[in-house]
Amino acid sequence: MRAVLRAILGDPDGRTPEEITRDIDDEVNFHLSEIERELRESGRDPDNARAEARRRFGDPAVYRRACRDVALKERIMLQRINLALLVAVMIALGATAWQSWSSQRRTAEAVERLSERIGALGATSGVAREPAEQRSTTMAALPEGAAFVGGSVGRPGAYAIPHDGLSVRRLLVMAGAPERDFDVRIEPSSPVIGNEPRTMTAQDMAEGRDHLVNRGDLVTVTARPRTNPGGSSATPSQPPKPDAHGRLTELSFSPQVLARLASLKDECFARYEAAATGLSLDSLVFRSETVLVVGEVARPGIYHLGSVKQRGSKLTFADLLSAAGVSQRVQSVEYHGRKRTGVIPAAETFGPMDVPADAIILAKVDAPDPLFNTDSIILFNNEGEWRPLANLFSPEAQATIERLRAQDWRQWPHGTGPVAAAPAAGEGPNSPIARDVVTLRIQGGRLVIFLTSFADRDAPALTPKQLIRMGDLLTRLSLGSPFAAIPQSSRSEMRLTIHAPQGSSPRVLSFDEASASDEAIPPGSSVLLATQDLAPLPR
Amino acid sequence: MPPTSSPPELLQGTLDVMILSVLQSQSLHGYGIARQIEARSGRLLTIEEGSLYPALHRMTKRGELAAEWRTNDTGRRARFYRLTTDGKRRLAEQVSLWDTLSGAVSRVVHGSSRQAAPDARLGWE
Repeated sequence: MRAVLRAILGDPDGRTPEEITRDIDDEVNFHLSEIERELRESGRDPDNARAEARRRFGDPAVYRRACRDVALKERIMLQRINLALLVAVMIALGATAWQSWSSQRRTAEAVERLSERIGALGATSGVAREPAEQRSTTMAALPEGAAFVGGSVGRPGAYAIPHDGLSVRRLLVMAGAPERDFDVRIEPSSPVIGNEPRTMTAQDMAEGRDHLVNRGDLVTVTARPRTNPGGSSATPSQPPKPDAHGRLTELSFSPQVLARLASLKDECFARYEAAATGLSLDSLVFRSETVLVVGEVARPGIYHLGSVKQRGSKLTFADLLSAAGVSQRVQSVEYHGRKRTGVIPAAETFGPMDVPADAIILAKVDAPDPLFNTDSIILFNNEGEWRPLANLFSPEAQATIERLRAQDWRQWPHGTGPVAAAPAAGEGPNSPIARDVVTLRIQGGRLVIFLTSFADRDAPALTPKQLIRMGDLLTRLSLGSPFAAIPQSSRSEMRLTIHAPQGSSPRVLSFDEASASDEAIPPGSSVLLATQDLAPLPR
Repeated sequence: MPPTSSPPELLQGTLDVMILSVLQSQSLHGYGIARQIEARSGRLLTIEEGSLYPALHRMTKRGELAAEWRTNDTGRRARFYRLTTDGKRRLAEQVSLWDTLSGAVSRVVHGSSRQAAPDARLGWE
């Protein structure tokens, strides 16, 4: 240790500061006494010799100090650093002590509040065991117009109840009940015949049954140990992982919901909550940083905001909508949070997204893209069920779709798309492109896209801007449509086959060739984009 | 104007080289070093003797000198200094530097240009 110190401090013989000081004193004293001795031997009297020795030597105190500074320079510096460190540590200790004291005080306050709640909760959940007067005390403590929720919930306490009652499902969402595996007991404040205590289970709620909670009711939630009916080793409590788009949960809408989608545009999430298949808000509220995206999007679902790919430093609505597969220009975005709702105009969707977590986001789009405009039909056939993904849900359009489905697409006559079948009152197609029809179909597990009737061959000559180029077509298809869900490997298997209206044999290009091509597709062509294993088209 | 007979002041840095020179042949304590400098300079160079000690401690710390306590010939305990290998190397450097410097100063003072100019050739003919 001494050797290490010697190496660090540069003191060659490892003396202590006291030894160094003593050595310097001895050395100086020796020198002075030798001069005095020399002078006395030469005949000077002692006083004179001492004075002369001091004159020749100089001020001993100055030289002692100088020697000491040389010998102890590093140690003095180290002492200063030590002192500074000590002061810093003392300050840090003081700050920590203060923080600890204030934290303890806050904890004590929280424990006190918690114990009050637990007391109230005990009175609630243990109705059968607690004395009636204790339960009455809990009831008496309830604010007017409220019900008390206790038991296995994240936020037990009194909740305001409307005059006409509140759905137990909504109340439990607010109180932070588990997603599944629990029982609920609703006890009226004054049980009378016809208003007895009621019980229900999470399963009841999942199957759509619900009860009304009235003012003054006591609602007790009891969690049950989770069971794993499949016997699988996977733990059901594991949070789902978001997919490549940041989507945690894919939503599937029943045909009834899809039929109502257009009319749901202006309504809020309550409709979705009730109508979306397999969707309940319970699955949302306990996950922070998640939002539900619905509306005119290709990939409705629950999105984990942290997993949504960002283009800038802050997450924007544009990022989220892009993840959800919105390629069209957005008209507006509504968000419905638990405490606040709002509408984001299109111009602001590129700003930082400031919505409450667990919000429901409803996108409305303008659809200016001729391939995906409101005069187009985009169908997605998933295992035999056709689902429209764009916003054509009129009965006429559906009838046309059905009629077209019954025919070979190559037999579709030009101009017999849904627009021709059911034009909006007073509006005709605004360009030849408006008659395009795009369909998508799963065949043998692979997605096939049909595109036909690019333009009316009888239409006047198209301007260069009206022409669709191959690369542009595939780029548009790749953006945001269900096409984006096709794996890259499958895309490379695809072939674009173009049948020009007049005569020549069909042109077949690989997906990559077509993507890179700047060549315009002749107006009136029929185009097939299909996986390689599809039979070649007869001409 | 100061009297011309007063001893000349030491040039900056000469104290170290004088201490190294004095210790080249023997180990000495501070008082002995002061006496040797005085004697070798013909009493022309006098120093405030206390100024030796910071220099001795500095050089000891640099490893040019080593020090040890011994008794002198009068039986008193004194701290003796001797040259180390580093000290000898430093002395050689300092002596060479001093020769160059003093020669140059001498030529300036005497205005002499008799010495041949340095050969500027890069190699043999």
